[in-house]
Amino acid sequence: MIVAVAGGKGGVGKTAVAYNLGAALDAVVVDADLGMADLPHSQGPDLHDVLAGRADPMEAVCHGRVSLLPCGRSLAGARAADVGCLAEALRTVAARVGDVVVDCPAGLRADVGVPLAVADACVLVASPRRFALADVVRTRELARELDAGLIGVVLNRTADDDDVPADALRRTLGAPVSAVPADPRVGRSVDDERPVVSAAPDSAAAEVFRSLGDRVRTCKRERRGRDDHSVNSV
Amino acid sequence: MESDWTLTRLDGRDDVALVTVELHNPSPVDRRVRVTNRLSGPLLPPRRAGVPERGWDTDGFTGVVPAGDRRTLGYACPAPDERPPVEVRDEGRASAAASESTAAAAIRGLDAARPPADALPDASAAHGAGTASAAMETDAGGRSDDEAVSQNDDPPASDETPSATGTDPTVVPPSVAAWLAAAERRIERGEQLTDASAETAATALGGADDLAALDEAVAADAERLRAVSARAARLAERAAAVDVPYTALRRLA
Repeated sequence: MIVAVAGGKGGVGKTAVAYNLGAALDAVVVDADLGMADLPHSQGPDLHDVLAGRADPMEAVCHGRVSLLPCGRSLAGARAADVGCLAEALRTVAARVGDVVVDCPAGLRADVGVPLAVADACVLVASPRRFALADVVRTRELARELDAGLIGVVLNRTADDDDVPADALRRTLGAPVSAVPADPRVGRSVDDERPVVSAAPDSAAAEVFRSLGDRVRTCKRERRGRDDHSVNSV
Repeated sequence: MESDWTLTRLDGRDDVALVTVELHNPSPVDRRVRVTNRLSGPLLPPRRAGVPERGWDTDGFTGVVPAGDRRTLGYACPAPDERPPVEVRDEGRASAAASESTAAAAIRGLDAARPPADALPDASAAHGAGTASAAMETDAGGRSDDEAVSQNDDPPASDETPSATGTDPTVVPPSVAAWLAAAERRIERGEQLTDASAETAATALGGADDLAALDEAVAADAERLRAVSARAARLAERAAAVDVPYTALRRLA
């Protein structure tokens, strides 16, 4: 199953959500931000190499606490990368390892469109600030157009005094909204490679990522059931 | 299904055939049609953002012609003539729209995500870094740099040895040298065409359409070079007048 984590606005915490959801699902997290990668990168081939035809997608997967397929940092690499190959690369990794979580870039360009088009489902991330909400609605529209069902919306870094219009958001986007309270451990989790589901299993954030992971699994079972059913009926 | 085709040659490229097919569906229902290329070369379909338009594959086109309507298709194919160039097959009444690869639709419909070629750092800068990853980046960037080079015939800036700029005071920085070389080439070409006989002009002309652009570019070069030369002269004068009293200052420090 391929799950795209998108959100329109940059800096709302898509990468942290993708990383921690990947940990909850034991999935490979792919950094699809071809121009401005976020996930840690070590030696070896990366997504730029895969999309330029220089490496096999599975070669670029780094196994750690959370398995990652990192992306290169250079503009030249971003220019040489063919986003048309991204669909095939994501399907290859999903076929080999099972679940893939794609950390999408900000914006509404082709590098967001392709993961959403390939994904079986998506998770949207928004900041509780009003300026970020319009972008998440636009991303929702794009996901709908590209047939990526919405599993849930994460309102990241909420504070006690935030007046979050969660109900309105749930009605507008048509999916459950969960709030991740501001927690420095979530922000640090990516750089420290310590996902909150294992580093702070009792935190509210860990609870959100676990339940999001459960919803992904439910969705996966439902899809499988539906596919079996359609095969049987044929 | 009525169909009509034309086969022409691409301007200036006799080896490439341009095929257009006009389809007309006189029946009162939408009909699905398959158009297959019969020429011996690879089919080059219309593309948007590098992705073939909906309905095209490596052998031809599949799509729907609405009831009582027309649809015109066109493609290119590097191959010798053959008549007819296409085979049109009516596949009967069109049922529900076939699903297409939405990843291709996303690439066609959304803006490209690639950074522009102009944003790429100079290849020589990447060489300077000297790490394995920098070498790989240069490798990748080289391809896109080639496009830029073929457009304006600039020599790659890496011809200059960056270390020489530090030691030899008469060697200008590589970017300046590249700029001057490009201006010189444009000016030389302009000189060839100034008061040229018909034959010289004909040999110097690659394509006639860029002459106006060349004239403008050379005029801009002249203005810029004059500005740079004036500023450089002023700076050189000021530099010559500088006399740092370093012995006196050292005593103060």
